[in-house]
Amino acid sequence: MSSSVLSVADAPTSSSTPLPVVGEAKLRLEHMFKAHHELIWRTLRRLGLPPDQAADTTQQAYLIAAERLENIRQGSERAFLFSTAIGLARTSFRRAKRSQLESDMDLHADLGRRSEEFTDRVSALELMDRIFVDTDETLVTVFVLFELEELSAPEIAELVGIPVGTVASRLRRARATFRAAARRLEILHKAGKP
Amino acid sequence: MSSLEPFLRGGGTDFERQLLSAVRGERPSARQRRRMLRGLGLSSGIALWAATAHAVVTGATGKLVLGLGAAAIVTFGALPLVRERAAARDAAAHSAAASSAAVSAPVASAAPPADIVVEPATVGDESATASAEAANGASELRAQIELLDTVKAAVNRKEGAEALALLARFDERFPSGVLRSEARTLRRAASRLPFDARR
Repeated sequence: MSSSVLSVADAPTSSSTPLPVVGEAKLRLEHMFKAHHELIWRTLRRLGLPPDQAADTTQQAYLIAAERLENIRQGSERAFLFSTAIGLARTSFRRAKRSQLESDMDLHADLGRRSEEFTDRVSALELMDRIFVDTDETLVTVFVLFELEELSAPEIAELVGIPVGTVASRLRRARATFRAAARRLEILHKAGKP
Repeated sequence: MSSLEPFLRGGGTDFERQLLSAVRGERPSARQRRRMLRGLGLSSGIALWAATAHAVVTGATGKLVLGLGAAAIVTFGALPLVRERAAARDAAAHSAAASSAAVSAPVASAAPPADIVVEPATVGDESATASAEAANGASELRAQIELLDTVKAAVNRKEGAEALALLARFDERFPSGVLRSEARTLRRAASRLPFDARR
């Protein structure tokens, strides 16, 4: 990963009074928000964070970026924000996974009741929330960036900080998981129809 | 890898594409976006939809300024920079967004971010008058930015009196300046500093 992309470990810890960002720095931060906040938020959502939590984590990533603006090289903003957000989400992600596992027991009953509503977008979102509940976040991340954000393999490699070959292998594994889960859900969905 | 296509473009089953399509357009809701912007101290008037805002004209000093497009005025809010612990306090005061406790979160709608408003410009169409007004606006904005940068530098040097004197100059020159909320934030920071002997 670019040397200008700092790890979450570099997040500020000083308790000194923070200073407002003005002028050029503020313009840059606004541009970064405009350009990347949706991608960050959507990735966090697919990693299992509820919408409000994904928004909070996205905000925290930008706050850290604001602290480190001088050290973030031009053109590396997305990579910095992305890696920071993923790092921040790891603890929340594990917490969200545990609650998802508990609610997953109700999936069959839910799917039966909702079989008529599958075309409803809310139901589809909830189903997608469950598909990757047990999947390693490194696989989910690559899957989301390729399938949903339609980034190329080199772009994903740069963003995540892995070789292109690793992108390919993770995508293959993530796709296998997605297809298997989707197949199970489709069977249940069809079985639920009258 | 180059031969792989996303499922949505081909190769996926109908069911798979249906699932992926449902999440592909998911975006933060208007409320969530407002919350993020408030937590960052950015105005909801930020021109996120840059079709009408021409960005970044480098000024004489080399600092970046925002050129005003023909159909939009970008308004700035204060950007109080807060650290994570302070963020929890401030964000809670604004929106209770900092808490990571379990929140009953509805599934975000895919509604377009209608709350982000690009305020209509008084500049009008591309007449000579409009161009001149836009240039004046950009020039004044640049001046505000430069002055606030000197304030920030004084605060960094812990020269509270100097910073407050500069802020008084800002108030006098730009009583209706778009960056006055940032000036207020800097004033709070300067007020907390020990005053030096210079006046």
